[in-house]
Amino acid sequence: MADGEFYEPADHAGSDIPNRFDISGYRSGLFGGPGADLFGEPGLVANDRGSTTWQRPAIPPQQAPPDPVTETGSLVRPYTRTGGRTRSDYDLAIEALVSTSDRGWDVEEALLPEHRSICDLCMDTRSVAEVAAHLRLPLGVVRVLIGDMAGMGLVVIHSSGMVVGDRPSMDFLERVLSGLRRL
Amino acid sequence: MAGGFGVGKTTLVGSVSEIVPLTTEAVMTDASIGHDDLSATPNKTTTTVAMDFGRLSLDSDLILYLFGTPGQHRFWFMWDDLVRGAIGAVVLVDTRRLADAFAAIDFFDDRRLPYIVAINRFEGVLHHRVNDVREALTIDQSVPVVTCDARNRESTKQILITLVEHAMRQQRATVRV
Repeated sequence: MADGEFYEPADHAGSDIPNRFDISGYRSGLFGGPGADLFGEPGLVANDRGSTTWQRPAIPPQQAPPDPVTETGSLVRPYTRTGGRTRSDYDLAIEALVSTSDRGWDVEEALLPEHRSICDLCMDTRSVAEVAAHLRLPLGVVRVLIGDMAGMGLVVIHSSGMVVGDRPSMDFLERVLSGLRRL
Repeated sequence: MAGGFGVGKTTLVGSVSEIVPLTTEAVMTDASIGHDDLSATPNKTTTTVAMDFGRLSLDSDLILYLFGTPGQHRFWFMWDDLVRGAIGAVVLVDTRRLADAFAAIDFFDDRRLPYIVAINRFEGVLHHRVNDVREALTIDQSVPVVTCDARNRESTKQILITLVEHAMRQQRATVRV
């Protein structure tokens, strides 16, 4: 855990307990946890001739590119990508289905690496939970990211429209039952 | 899918899932209740909670997700997120460790989420009779208590069917009141 570039060593005092992180003093974040299925390089955009050029993403200036992943801290850093926000305008259920919009397919539109990753991942419709699992990011972070992307028109969020309050409607249950019996 | 540690939740999910079970994680502060809460408060410490889940397509436009609940009781506040909008829950029990199931049953009773109890038969042997289990867990007669083999796809499919049928019965009963 010799990650002095991103933590003050004192921040880890007492953090010998697994999975406990002190988030004070975090710096720039990774866009995916260890083993994440990442798509594309940060800041690199393919130009017409097929080679890549550096293009600064439209976000505030950052520190140097992140270190190779370390086990500790990687789940906490991604919140830096949401500016510390833990809520989105959309109250996304973990099973909410997300698919990439026409706009999201356009590589020019999604410049942030995490947006690019999610657009690529959701070319097949995925749930919020699946996106979080594949990118190895916390659910809360993914909810905010997807919420942002929905607002930007990069992804479409599908609602079942068959929920009454907090419970599925009878019609919905019938459909599920039929589907299970057909297996 | 709820139940004690090591009872077979992930096995149950995996037996019917069309994808290899994935793991999703939520990051919690110790002080938060029910939400990811990393709103830049200094000196908060965080814990990660993992849930395994699988997916089952029931139709071209209908996908069922199966989530294994976090085993630790102190992460129950996460369950509220799962319970909201869920069809129901399967409480998987090992008859050698019935007490592990109490907490889950209390939780679902309290949230009024439909659930069934599934006794996981290890190596095909039923250690206790179903009625003994029902008594030991002190659950209502209306709650289905069934046996299953968590490794078997057909068995798991039947479990899910039993659960959905129960959810529909429960909803009809509620509407009539």
